[in-house]
Amino acid sequence: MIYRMRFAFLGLLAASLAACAGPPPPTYNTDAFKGIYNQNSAVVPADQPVSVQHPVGIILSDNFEIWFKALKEANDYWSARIPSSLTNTAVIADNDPAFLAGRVLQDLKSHFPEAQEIKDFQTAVASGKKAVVLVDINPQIGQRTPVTNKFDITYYFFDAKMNPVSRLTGHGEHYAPYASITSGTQDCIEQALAQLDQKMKVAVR
Amino acid sequence: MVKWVSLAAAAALIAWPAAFAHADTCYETAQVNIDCSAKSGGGAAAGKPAPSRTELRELLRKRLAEPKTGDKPPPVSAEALSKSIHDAEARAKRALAAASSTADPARQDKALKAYNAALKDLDKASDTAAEEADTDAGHDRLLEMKAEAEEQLAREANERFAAQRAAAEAARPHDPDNVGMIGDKIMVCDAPVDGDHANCREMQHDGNSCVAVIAFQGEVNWRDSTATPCSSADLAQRTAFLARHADEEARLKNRQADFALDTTANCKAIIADYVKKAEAQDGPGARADYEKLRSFGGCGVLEKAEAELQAQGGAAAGPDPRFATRGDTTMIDQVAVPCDQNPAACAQAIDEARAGASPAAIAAIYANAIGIGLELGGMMGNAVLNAQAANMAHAAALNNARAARALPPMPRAISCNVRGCVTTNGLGPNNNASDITGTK
Repeated sequence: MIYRMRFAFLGLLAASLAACAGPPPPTYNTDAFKGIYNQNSAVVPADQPVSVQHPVGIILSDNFEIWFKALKEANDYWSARIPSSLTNTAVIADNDPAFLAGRVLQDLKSHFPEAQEIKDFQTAVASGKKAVVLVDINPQIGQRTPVTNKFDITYYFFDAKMNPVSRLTGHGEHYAPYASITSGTQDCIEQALAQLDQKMKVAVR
Repeated sequence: MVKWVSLAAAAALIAWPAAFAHADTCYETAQVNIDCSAKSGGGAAAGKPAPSRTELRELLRKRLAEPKTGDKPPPVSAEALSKSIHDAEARAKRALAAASSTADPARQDKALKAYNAALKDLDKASDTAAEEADTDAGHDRLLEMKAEAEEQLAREANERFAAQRAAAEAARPHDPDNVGMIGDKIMVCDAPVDGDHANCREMQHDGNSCVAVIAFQGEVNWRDSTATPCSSADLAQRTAFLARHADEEARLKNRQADFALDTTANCKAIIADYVKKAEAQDGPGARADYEKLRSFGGCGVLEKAEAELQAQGGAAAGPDPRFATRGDTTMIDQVAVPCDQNPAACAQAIDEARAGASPAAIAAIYANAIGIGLELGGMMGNAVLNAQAANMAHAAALNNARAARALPPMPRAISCNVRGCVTTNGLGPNNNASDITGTK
């Protein structure tokens, strides 16, 4: 996936290895609630004003799990084939799972300082959460350059009765020119979070 | 004017060739100054065929002077009759104009009275003229014309008053369309209330709290579950709306009482049904009643019951059917949970990731690649030079042959690197120009 870019950069090596098929790209859930909440996330109204009671629980959707696994598999795959001296550490850092998870948590905690990451709604109810923010992602990181990579982050707000009441989406894009060494994922994430921040200022009370 | 022409024609029909004179007197209607000469039907007979006005007047006098059978009173003059019709019609029109040009109810009422009086006069004058007609056809025609005149006046009145209403409506300051009533509650929206997707605040009956809703063409199709204090701007719009709509305020108060009664009745029914279904272990039914109860704000019992249940550990409730059993979240647990539990370490990891993808890091990767490329070039150069050195044995033999022929010896390579070889004659590689083959 993202490691194709290192081949473009490395000239002869790229030519010899680009033909190698990397791990297949992951398939993301179109329903952000899949495996978490028995309702289709598409029916949740967008950009609706919402009153968030505290304390807040944060649930990361299964698409986070899929994305993190895909990154790990790609790392494992290519590290078995590429000498460490040729590893594109920039693209690995750019797609560091800790960056995405950390920035999302940072962003939400800036609004809800006592918010906690939790596994599921049962945990939310059991731990007395009065609101839940379910976070979903939709990464569209291209395999070849030039490409415009995209990354959507969506916050689904659940009220104290654990009913979804609103969703806010942030979108980020980054153009990676031919032979670019990174995918601009961090850039996309920051853009998406900035958009979300703006929307939260308006919609979240 | 058309009417005037028609009347003249009718008069001609009944041998009253009345060429109507200009109205030289004018009736004051509705205390409005009216320029009679400008509005009277002067020249109405223009275009009428012969006989001329003088001839017709003479003819009418003669006819009227002739003795009639029966005991009818002596007929009035044709001129007088036609004038009275004309005057009545003109007065009616002026009164109508006066009534429709004022918004003052008193003036309008006076003008309308004058209009009705003129209509009566027109009716009477027309009937009198019809009575004086010396043929049945003339009589009928005059009555027909009276009906036409009245119809035309009625039509004109309708048009004028409709125009007046429209002008008044246009001049009236319009209410903002973002505030209105939906059901028994006032909505303050960010767009027209009856728009396709209006974000609104539903003002609760307590007058202070608001619930966010989405209205679609005047119907609420989504409602936030929590009420929050209304903003001062929304409250101001609500007050302004009620000030403009006293009837809505009254309706709101009345409906508020009705609503409370309805809610109470509904709450009782739903709670009873809910308990019954819960006892019967009817999951879907209980769920439906639960939702109904929620839609009524919990009826004052739901929240308590839920709190009680939560206090009991929720064991009795069983799993919430909305909540799915989460599958494997190994990666999230590895990545996000530590980040959540240790924000400082998380921030450090974020900084490291940023640094790893920074322009400096990318430059380092490029530098590394260039270094590797040079190393590769060096390796390839050595391979070539080694081959070159291997050929030196052959060169030595050649040198021996040359020595035999007193030729200068060929220098032999002692050691090589990417830039060339140090040879037996003491020469080294040329450092000023190089390529990976070491041949320069």
